[in-house]
Amino acid sequence: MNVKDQYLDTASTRSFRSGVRPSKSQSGFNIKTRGQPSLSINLDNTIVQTIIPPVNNTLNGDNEDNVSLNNFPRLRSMQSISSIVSRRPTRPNTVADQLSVNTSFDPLIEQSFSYSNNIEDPSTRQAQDTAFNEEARKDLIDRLAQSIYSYPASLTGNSYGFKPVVSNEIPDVFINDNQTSPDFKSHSKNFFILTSAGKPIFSMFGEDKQIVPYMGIINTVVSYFQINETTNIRTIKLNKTRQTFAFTNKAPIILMAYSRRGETTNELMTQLDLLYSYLISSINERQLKRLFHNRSNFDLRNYLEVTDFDNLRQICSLLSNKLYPDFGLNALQCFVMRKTERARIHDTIHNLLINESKDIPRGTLLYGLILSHKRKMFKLCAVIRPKGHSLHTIDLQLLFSLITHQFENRDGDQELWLPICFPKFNSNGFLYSYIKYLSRSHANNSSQMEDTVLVLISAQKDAFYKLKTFGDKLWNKLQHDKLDEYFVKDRFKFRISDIQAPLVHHFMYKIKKYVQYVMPEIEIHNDDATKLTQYECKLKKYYGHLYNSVVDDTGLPINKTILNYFHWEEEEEGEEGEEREEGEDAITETQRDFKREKINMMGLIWITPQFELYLICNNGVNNKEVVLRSAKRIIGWCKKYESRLFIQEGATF
Amino acid sequence: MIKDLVVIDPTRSHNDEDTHKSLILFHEFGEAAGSSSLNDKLNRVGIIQGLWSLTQSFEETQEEENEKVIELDNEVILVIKVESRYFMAISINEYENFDDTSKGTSNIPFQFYLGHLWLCYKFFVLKHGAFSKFNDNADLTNNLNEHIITFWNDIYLKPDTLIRQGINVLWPNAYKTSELADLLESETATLADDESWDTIINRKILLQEESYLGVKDILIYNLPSYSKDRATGILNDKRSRIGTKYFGLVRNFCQAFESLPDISNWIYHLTQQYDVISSHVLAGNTHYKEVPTTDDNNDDDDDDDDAGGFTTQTTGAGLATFGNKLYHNMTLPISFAYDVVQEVGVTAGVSSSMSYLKSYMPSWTTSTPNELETNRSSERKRYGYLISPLAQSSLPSNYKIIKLNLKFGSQAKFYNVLFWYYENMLAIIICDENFETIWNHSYLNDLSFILSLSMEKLHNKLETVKRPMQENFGYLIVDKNKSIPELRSSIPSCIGLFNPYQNESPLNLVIEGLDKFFSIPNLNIDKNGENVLGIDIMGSLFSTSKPRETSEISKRKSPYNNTFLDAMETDKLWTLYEELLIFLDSLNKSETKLNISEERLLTLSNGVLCYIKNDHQRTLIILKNWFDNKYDDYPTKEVTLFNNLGIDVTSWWAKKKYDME
Repeated sequence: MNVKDQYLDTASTRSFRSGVRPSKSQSGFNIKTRGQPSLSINLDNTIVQTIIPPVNNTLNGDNEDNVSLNNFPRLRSMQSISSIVSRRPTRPNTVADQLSVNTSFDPLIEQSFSYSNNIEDPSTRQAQDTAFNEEARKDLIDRLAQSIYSYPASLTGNSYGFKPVVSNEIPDVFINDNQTSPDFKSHSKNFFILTSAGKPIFSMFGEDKQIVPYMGIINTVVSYFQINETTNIRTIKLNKTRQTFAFTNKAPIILMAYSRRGETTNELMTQLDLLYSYLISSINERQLKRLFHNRSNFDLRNYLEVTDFDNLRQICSLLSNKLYPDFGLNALQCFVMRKTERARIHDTIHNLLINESKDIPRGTLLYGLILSHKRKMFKLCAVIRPKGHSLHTIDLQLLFSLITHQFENRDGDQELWLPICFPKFNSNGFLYSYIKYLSRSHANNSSQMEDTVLVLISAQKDAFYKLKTFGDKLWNKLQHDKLDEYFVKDRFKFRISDIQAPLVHHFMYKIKKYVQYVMPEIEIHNDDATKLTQYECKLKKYYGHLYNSVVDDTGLPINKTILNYFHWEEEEEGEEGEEREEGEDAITETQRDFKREKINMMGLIWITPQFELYLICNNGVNNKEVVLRSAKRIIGWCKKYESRLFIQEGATF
Repeated sequence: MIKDLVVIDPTRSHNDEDTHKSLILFHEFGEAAGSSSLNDKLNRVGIIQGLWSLTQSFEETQEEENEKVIELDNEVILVIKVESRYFMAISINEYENFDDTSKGTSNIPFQFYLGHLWLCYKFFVLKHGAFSKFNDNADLTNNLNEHIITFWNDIYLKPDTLIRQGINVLWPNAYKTSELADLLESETATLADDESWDTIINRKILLQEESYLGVKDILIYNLPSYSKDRATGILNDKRSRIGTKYFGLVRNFCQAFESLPDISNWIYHLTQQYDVISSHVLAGNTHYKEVPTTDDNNDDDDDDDDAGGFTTQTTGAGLATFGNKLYHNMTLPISFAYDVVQEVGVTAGVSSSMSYLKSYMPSWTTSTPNELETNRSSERKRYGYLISPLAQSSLPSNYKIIKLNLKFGSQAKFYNVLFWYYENMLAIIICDENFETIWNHSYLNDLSFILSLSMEKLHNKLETVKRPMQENFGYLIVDKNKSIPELRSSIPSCIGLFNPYQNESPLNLVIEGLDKFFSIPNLNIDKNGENVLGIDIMGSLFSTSKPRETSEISKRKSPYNNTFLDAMETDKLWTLYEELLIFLDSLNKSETKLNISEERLLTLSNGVLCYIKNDHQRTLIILKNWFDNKYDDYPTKEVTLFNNLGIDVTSWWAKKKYDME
């Protein structure tokens, strides 16, 4: 459906075109904010609203006219359209006019501001109108239409060439705490790892000379309670400033997490457990205890390798700044493919395992995975596992982290043979992993690379050649049967617009039975890495907030079934005097003429014994029923495509 | 269970050798009492300071944190910093077990302890002034010993005090207001010619030439009264929940009274701790004491009195059941006489004479506003002073006036405070220290008369008001916008959560320092029921002493008794509390920007719809029965989270918001 055809109002277009925009210096106009007639387009519960510039008279009413989108070729998205509201030009340079504009506006939107900066001169305006060519306008309208009238095209395999995009310009309702200061205390989150003797091992931020005194205090505090009170300190909570210090004593290692992000005790403890698990995956617990047995003063930093510190840093970064739901949800993401395709792959693996039992005797292969790797996120394509056994998600996440780092700067096809301790499987011993990159391809229309990785895990130290032979044969077989095509490119990756769930911006759906989750692709324009990080941080905060609201300190949901709605709204009083966020440029005169869209966000968390759904809506939604309807549609969609979205069985032997 | 209590002032210590000087108070509760060495105590001082320093070094903001919660594997240490240099810490080493026959064990979350730790400090300041005002350290320690230890000891012996105020205690800086005034407001408007009850107080007391500026303020409270089942002697928890929204401060008359939350919370705390306000309770002479369990359950005693309605254990050691302690407190003078007569009776072998005396012992039941109408019968309302110079001269000075450190405007100073009651209404009369007229008995009698007129008018007005139905939902509003945060709530307190049988623990009331006095056989009550001692107890004491069967109360269905929360089982209510705590905790941790308001709507499996809104102006909690679809017509087509609660809630809020603003 084309919005242009359906909703354009040419009469209004004319009135807009002929309108003279007021300049701030024009005293002849007495324009009040509420007096601006506004443009309102109602599309399937989506209100797109902006203001028509005044037309040669004083405006006092709250008139609302329907006007064509053609009038606003420079507007790039739904949010952007609704963002732009004319301000009072008669009171420039006052504090009340200090406007902040949504920081996530893309360059084209910024162009729109520079355009309207010259509104005093109609000829300039016309020239710039032309500059906003038809292409940009068409793009906007297409995207608008697609974002509203979306349909499940991708999963039916017809998505090539069709890229509906929903704006990611959701406002940030949370305090921006991203610090770049060198002082480690200025960061809102930090991790410290030290030995029981107080020797530092690792800290996410802070140099040695800064953190060493703190390591001493941390060690004293932990030791005090252990010796004097025969107990362990778990947390220190500071209610007013929302700070939490979480401690884990895994003698001879002590870990501490610091956070002022409102995370629950359980969340921080789980994160510390992950860091400790990483250490154990590198040196197993038995080795660790042996190292410290007679030398409590041992400096573990000398024993660990550079890659270990890099990996720790990477895990900390994933925990702190990236949207990496694998940790938070304690689940894995799957590569979407048809049920029959996945079944064929699993059958092939299974048959090969049986047929090649001479090369790979029973008991050699413990576990096998085919993974898709893109932007440091792993998706499970296929699983080979013994019947009734599976690896703990933390063990798998550690494996993923290791793979990410090992292959970060790889050149051509490489294979690795790595001893890894899977702490949740057996913290005192190693398993051996054969890791091979199968293929690499460009993601659709993106510079991002998609890799396919084969991981075969064995308990036998000398099983490299057996696993390599099996891996090669498997890959050849997959290629021969043209099964590799199914997971070389992510054909069925979906966006939120592929689901008929109006007004939903993003969601995460976890199915408890399979310990797997699914979420739409995260996209932003121009693949801008900085903006992507900011956007991911924003989503992470929303989801973290949803999750934390319904779990107690032990991490258990307060009820077996929970349906919790959230609504964040900007208060009227805060609009004008609102503080500008750090890092924003000084406001321009143009920005002073416009008002940022009012924040009106909704979210939902729905937990049942079967699934967990976390959902964030677009800005401007405040109808609970619409949110619930969309949530139900998402659940219905996920159930409908369950066999595509999740690995239900895998190749078992 | 509270394990120990520490108060320290690190500024007193200047080097490693005089660390002990920083320790102002260290007290251990229970079996561990006195087991710690000085070294242990100093260790505790050191670790509190160490933890404080560690956490403070991470604080980037200018806002100084004044409370910290340290969670250990099986212990929680709560530390608050007051007056910029004193640390008060309590540690809770094991939690109280609730009714473990029904659903396993539960704990009292530390938030309730933390709220009481703040209240404990505030009450101390109220009674003795700020810590820093004490020039003599020993004097501070002595006062702390007297105040803080008894405060926590009472909680140690009766831990359900922690939760009896409900979640209100999570806002120790706010005070609960009664909504009686709102109820009367419309009536006042229609009867403008008539002098309203508060105008009487204002004109005839506060603005009177005689007392102008001498009487600084008068605070009127409507307090709950805890009835107990006559058969079992156990508090009737559900009944005492009714009308929660009307309990609290009805009104005061001075605008800039900054100590209002502290004095209000003190009164509420006393009510929850001792069930009723009496002269002894206010004078601070009533505390719990542990007595040996072997003295309990003396079933062989044949002094049980059926007519009295409860079982009285007549052992020499005192009362056996928890429920009886209240009775004991109220009727202490009679009890002493009772003991004397009993001893005589036992000695003389005339035990049956006890029943005669017991027949005169008063008992009481609740008299919440809903019952005012039913009580209106010709009976004379009980009123009088609880604390006033009218008290017998032989009584200690704290029975005559109570000196409280109060803050009107910016400066805090001590005021003489009198307490007067009318049924379940409590009036606190705050007088300037130089206002000598209060020592004039005739003035006090006049004051009492004017107050009684006012209260009578209030009661009469309540009877005439066509009372609206109690909302069929629970709510709590913390108004942060006001300079002194206010709290309105209709969420009932969680009374009776502990296993009632647990209350058979050896708790007893002891009256300190009065034994000698009460040995004087001058315990007569005159024909008006007034105690010539000048000491009294609140409540409609004698009015309900007639047999219950004939009482109208039992026949009449209370118009307020329809909030689903009032009828909820206590353990379910407690579960709800726990869930609310989680939501509030996450709300407090929320990183939302200052100008963002956050709303949540939760559908819980226990059939409660919970709505929470938090912004910089107020925190609002609404609890509604999910299955109550009587009002589910949405006022607008747009079903926002708030509208979803139904038209009854939205219309109520529209009015409430208007009232509050």
